[in-house]
Amino acid sequence: MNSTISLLEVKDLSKDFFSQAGAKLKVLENINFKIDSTESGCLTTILSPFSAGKTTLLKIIGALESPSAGSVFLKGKEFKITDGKVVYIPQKPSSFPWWNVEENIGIALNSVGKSFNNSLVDEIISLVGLDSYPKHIPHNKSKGFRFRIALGRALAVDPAVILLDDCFSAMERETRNELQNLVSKLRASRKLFFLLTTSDVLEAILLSDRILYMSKNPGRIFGEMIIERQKINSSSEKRDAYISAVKNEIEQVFAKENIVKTINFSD
Amino acid sequence: MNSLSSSKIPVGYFLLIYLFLWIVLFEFVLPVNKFLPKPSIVVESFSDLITKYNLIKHLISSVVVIYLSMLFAYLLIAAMRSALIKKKNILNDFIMSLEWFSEYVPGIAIGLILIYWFPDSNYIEFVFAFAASFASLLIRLQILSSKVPESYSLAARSLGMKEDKINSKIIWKAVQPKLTEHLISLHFYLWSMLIAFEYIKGGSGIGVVFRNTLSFNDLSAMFSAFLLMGLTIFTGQFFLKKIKEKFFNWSLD
Repeated sequence: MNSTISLLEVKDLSKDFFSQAGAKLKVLENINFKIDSTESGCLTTILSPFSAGKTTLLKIIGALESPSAGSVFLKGKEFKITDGKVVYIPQKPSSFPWWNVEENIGIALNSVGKSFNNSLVDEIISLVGLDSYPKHIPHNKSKGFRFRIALGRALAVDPAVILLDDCFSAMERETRNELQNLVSKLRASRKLFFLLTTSDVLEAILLSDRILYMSKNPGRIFGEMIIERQKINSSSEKRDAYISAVKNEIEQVFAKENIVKTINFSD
Repeated sequence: MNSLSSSKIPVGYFLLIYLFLWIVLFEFVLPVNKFLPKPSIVVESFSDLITKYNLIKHLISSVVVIYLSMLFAYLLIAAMRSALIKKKNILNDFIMSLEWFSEYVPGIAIGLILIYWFPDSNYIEFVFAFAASFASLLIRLQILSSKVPESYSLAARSLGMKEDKINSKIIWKAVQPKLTEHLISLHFYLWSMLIAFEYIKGGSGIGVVFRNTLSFNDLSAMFSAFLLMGLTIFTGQFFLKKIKEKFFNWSLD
């Protein structure tokens, strides 16, 4: 018997929706996976086609929605009530536009019962790259700016896992690269655990330690791949060859499931 | 090509044109008529309004009723916001039934009933204006809060924020700019209703001035009262817009 307690465990999870006419739509079916606690933090990606139920899955993991069956465990305990231990960042990250950057971080501290701490707030603002904008109101700011605030708020509550719901897909290439680098840097430097959902294969390869494959109609996990980070971080020739090989492998796996066309394989 | 409809001519220019036409037509071309008074008589009638019709007292009465009722209604809504924003409770259903009611029964009908019940009360104008403001803000709050994008409450819940706090700190803040915009529209609507109410009830208020000018067939005094009332409403509107721009100037992502 394996007695090791995982950081996060999703067990036999299913979700059904019902139409107004009463017809049942199975969105998620029997999802099982674990994220183990490691010394160095980890970024796991769920790679799936569009509209496969990724958002629903993340909301259930974040206790923002109830499953039809199954459970989510955080450090061995069933996780059912939001308490800042699993923070969800939606695809359209919402900054609170009536508060400035500092206040946005401050409200996150406040929500978990911590008092406003100037040095901590400054440190978080600096970590997410907003040190020049502590008093800026996020109203009318770019998606990248708002994502940084959402990430800062997440860091403020010191969560066990941060859920990123396809956060980079609607961003311009340059911003996307910058923010992906920021997430990678934070994962390594702060030893954070991220669970990302995406339909972009390259994003999954470049960011992840592990990729879980998810199918559509219904959504279920049908395979996984461990990414060798040292090869991703190696010289460009080796790196490109490795990425190309991984992409091919993923393409073949998804082709077997007949969903290859709905995954983004472009660079 | 610039069409007339797409060109931006300031309203002030049109006002000057109306003023010019009024002076030319009714001071010189048609000095005696039943439609509009002579500009020179209107100017003279301002002093009549103050002495004969007691305008200052009546205007102050209406201004106090309008702005205090709006302020109290807003403060009460703000104080009760957490309970009011809660979804799927009986209070919410009750408020939405008021909305249905307000679509078919004009507010002044309620005013008539209040006048019937309390014909001699000095405070019934305030009660009427307060009830109208409160009901209108209450209904608008329900509608606006149901339209706040889910991502705001999800983000807050995910951080561990409790429902009461989400309602009072996130949803309330999210609806405030639109609620203030509604207050600006309500301001004009409330003036119209209050004038009708005062006109019917009598007692005090600018509606009473209109009633008296009409009973004396005093067109020039009525016209002057209109101008002063318009100026008062314009000033109120101007300050409300400034308050919105200064304090509630955000828009949702």
